[in-house]
Amino acid sequence: MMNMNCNGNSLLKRLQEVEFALYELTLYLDAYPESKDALMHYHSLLDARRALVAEYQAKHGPLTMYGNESTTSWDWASTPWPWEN
Amino acid sequence: MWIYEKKLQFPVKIKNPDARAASIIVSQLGGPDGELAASMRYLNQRFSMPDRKIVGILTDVGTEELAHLEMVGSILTQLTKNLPVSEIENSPFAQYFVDHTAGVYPASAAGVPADMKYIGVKGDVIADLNEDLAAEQKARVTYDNILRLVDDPDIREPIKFLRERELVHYQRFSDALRLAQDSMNSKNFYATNPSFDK
Ligand SMILES: [Fe+2]
Repeated sequence: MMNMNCNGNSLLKRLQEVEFALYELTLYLDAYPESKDALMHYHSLLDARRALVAEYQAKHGPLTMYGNESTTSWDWASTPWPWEN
Repeated sequence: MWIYEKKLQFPVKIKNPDARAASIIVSQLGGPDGELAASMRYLNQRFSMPDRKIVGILTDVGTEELAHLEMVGSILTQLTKNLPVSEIENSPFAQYFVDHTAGVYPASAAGVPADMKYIGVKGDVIADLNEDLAAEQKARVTYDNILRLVDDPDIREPIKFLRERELVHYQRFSDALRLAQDSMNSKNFYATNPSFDK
């Protein structure tokens, strides 16, 4: 369940890409909150992120301390930490 | 990575500014046992920990210390908001004020800027966890000292919360040390970390 197979890596990469774009949009919107284009773009990526997070957590365990989906095991600390190789 | 949550861990609502209290409490921002040192200690020690559970404890305690840094900053900013100069000039806050005005700058109560010399990262699970146990007790004593010097309940409530958290962190680091020692060879009576000599 927890190993980073090829599928897992591409899922993580997609999540990182979507979240990076959301970060860029957040910084931009902080400075230009009146930008309707940026706000629309933000919302479309927010939906994409929600789906990716749900898929990632179901397959690989929690992304945050609030993401321990399992009700029978505590996976937050026991799944790999991001610098493990 | 981290994301920011726009709320404090525990409410800070101080009605009366107090320059003297600010000059004391700043030590828990940037003093030797302050929250900046605490967060940097745990979040950097994580990388060399041999056990994922211990990494978890250091990650979650270190992250909470960042939230405490924000609480102390909030206390300081409320204590120094709209302070008249007449209340600054004869208070111990005057020395801080001349360099930082009412900005939030990590320094000790004695005015020494925050320094990573306050923390240790030895890269050894036993040495680092023992440092963490001591650090939590030292932070608890500093909060005790603040409580000895401050009467206003608006200030005391969040300080009491922060003090209690040091006790809980001490308990969790005790668990982490037990975990580490249990996973060592039972003949390792002196609890040295032999991983480099294998
Ligand atoms: Fe702590």
